Amino acid sequence: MKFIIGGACQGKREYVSSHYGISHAEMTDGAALSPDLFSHQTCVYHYHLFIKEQLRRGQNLDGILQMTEELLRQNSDIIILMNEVGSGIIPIEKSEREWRETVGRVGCWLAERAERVERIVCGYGVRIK
Amino acid sequence: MTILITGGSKSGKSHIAETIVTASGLPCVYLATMMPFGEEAHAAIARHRAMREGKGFVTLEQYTDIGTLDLPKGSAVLLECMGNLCANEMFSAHTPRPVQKILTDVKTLSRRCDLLVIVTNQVGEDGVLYAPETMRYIKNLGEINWGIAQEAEMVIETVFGIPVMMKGEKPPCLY
Repeated sequence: MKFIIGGACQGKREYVSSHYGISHAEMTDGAALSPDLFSHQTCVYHYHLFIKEQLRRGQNLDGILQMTEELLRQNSDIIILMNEVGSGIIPIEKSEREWRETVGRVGCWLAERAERVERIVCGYGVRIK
Repeated sequence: MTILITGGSKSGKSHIAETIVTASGLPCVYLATMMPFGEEAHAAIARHRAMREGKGFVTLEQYTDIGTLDLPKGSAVLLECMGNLCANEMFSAHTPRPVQKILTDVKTLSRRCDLLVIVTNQVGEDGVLYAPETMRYIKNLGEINWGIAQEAEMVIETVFGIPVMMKGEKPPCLY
């Protein structure tokens, strides 16, 4: 698994497309991903929105980590793209705080298991793992 | 030696900080700056306590005025975190010049221990325009981080658990 991260709109999908030869058609929006669609995923972007949707459906961190483990089990070569969302002021809304913290923890979990982690800034990637 | 560790929410700052402090072999002091109010603060404190358990930390709580602390000689101090300390100085103690005050206090504290590891926060990257008081907080914390980083031997940004060196060489304990 490769883990591609960075702030919003830094060109993560373009980077994956040009560096790993994956067309946009092969990329799945995390906001529309669900466990029944886990098989044959090449690349999932907006994984932070997958997390948001799962939290909205009542999942917790452990449940989301289990789902993520299953996604990796079915697609060991998957590329996951996720935004960094934790570097602002603590949100007033409790659900927003939970989402931000869950994205942080799931991100640590993914980074630990990734064969490489690349951080995209202005379309350029820096390999940090 | 002073080491500054920054990063987003739940990005592994504490884990990296604890690794560095415990690897020093010095007596470890945990300097907690978070006021224990509210359910989430208690949960965070409990979680961090569990993380430190068995690592030999002496815990001190000091919400403002960290320059007045008495420390065991030759200790390694983990200050967590600057985001809370800055908020406490600004909004609880109403310190007139919090940036200068905190930077002076940090200098005093760093002279009283052998290793000072400071955990801070990145709070200025969400692009939201907040009320003036919050904008002042973002500015102050940014200036504090900048001031500490200039004096520090090492500055580390944690990114999803990965230590990214901004200043200095990666210490052996992080490999």
